[in-house]
Amino acid sequence: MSKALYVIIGVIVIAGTAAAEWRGWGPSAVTEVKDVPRTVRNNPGSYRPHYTYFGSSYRRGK
Amino acid sequence: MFRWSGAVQTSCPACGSVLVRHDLDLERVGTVGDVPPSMSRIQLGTEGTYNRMPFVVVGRIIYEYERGHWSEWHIRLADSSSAWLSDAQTEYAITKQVDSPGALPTADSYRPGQSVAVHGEQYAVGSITHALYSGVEGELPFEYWNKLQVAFVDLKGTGNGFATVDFSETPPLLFTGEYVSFDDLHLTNLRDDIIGGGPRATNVKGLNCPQCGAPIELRTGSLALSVACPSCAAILDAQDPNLAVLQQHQQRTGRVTPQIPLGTTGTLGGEPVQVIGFQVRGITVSGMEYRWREYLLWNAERGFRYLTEYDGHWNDVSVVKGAPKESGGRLPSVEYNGEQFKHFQSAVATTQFALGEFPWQVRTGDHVDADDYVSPPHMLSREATPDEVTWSLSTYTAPERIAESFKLAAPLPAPRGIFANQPNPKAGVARTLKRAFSIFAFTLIALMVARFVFARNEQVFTQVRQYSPASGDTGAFVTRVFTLGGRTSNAEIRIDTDLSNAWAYFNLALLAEDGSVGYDVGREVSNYRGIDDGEAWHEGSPNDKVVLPSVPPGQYYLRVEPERDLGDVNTPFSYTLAVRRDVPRAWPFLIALVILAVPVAFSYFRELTFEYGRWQESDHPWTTSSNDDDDDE
Repeated sequence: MSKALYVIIGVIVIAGTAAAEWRGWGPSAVTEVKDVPRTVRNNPGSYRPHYTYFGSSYRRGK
Repeated sequence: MFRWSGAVQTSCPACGSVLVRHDLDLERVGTVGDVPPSMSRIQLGTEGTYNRMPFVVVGRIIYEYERGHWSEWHIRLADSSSAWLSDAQTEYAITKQVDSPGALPTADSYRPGQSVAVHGEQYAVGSITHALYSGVEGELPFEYWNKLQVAFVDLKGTGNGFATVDFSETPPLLFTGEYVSFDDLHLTNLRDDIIGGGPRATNVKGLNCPQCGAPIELRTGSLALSVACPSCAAILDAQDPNLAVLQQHQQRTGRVTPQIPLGTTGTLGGEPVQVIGFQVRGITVSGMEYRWREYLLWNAERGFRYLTEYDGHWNDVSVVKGAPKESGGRLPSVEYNGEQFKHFQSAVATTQFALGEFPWQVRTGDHVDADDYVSPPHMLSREATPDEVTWSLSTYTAPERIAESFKLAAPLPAPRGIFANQPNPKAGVARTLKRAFSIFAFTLIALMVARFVFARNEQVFTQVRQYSPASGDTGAFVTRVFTLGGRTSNAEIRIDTDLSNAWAYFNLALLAEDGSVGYDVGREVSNYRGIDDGEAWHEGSPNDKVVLPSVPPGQYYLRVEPERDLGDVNTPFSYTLAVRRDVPRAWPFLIALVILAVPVAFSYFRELTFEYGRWQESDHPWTTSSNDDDDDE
């Protein structure tokens, strides 16, 4: 690998890391949901999570 | 007429009378014959400078030894002192006599390569020469005209240091000085009848081989001691007017054709040279014979140098003037000009075939003890015979450059395999990347420190809850609304429980108060411990946390729904929820560091692979055993 290519990659990696930390990017098992019903606050038990967790024997998404 | 007031002896150029001065009287003590022919460009009256002091050549003593003749030119320096300019086969040294050298060992006590202390300096014995006095001319600082055989011991110091012990007198004389180059002396008033510039001698002798009648040229004139007929390969005595045959057949190898034809001229390192000799030499290691080819190059002013070729690998070789400093240890090494060379291989090198002319009596079957030390692209080679130890410095040279230097019509074959002093093509890459990596690593660490120092890392919410399913608690609830401030950044939800030998599952949702967005995540908290067979064990943790990435600023609340395993469903437990905003993390920086280290590590791996291949061919192959001392290169 040439030095120039390595420097380019290095700059990209460092810039990407800094940007990721600044914006809080990162891998996660979190599911983002749009338009959450406002009734959740009045009836918390009615909310249905949207995630699916495969790490163990749990399967969510009721 | 004496040109130098300190001269004791002079010789008449017309009649050859040797005249010795006694105060104001001149005594004729004898005569000298014709001065042997010389290929040296130096003559009486040649002027030059040494250490910025002008000198003029006023006299000369000529000796004959096994390699022909050499001259000790007597020079008069501008401060009226005298010194000697030794000119042996275009190898030059300037020495001055030491007045009180102390006790010097006898000539037969010296051995080539031996380390000796002389007049407070450390030297290595370079050669022991038994020379025949051949004549004198000009002015000398002492009487010297009727000698016969004289023994000389040449000593090589560090760098260009040089000394010679002259056993022509009792006690012996000591001369110390240094090797000098032809160019450094800035010589003027040189002989022009020898050289027309460059390597081409104008007085080439045209001769015929007594074996096959083929014409033979002697390009180095009187410097040639032997010549191998380019037609029948018989080795002839070049000093004999009739070219007596020294060796008729060369049967060790078939006839070998040089890739650079004899007589080819070229420019190597800015120096014009001509190929005058070619030989095939070989070593046998572990029953395998390895042969290489050597080309002898000639430049009338700068002397001889060599080109060697093995499997397409070429080296430009020059004889080293001083003695490299040897050191022992697990891996023997030598130091020369501040460069450290590691021992590579020792073997007996044998001459197997020769063509062209040589300034020594070449024979097939000649052998020397050879030791090679490497510091790519250089290699120091030590060749020892019973009378002489010589060191030479090789510089690895690309075949394209050789072909270009000699303007060869066809390209030379590409190198095969890895040669002892071949530069590692990957070495520079790894070093360059390592320097860049150091800068990147420093930048990443600085960014990480700055991130940890300046991150908001603010706890925006905390709440303690008790989960009691037996009392009808479904567990699901929502928290109060809290603010995630600042820019879009992460948010960390932490759960601390008092679970012991139990687990619970938390359905978590961070929901925007305005309902625009929500983040769902499930976390299992499991904490077990016990003792099995007298040994304590622990699995899991009563605490857990999860980081939600890229959460925009705004008003949020948590929706929480814990669950328990059925066995413990009626056992209450308490837990604390906490939310932090803009939490710094080390792992992205560490992952970046690893990503950037991979190309560096890969480059080093490739470099080491090349070095492994190099040293596998040496006396010190790398091994995989951790107990082996040789793999610490």
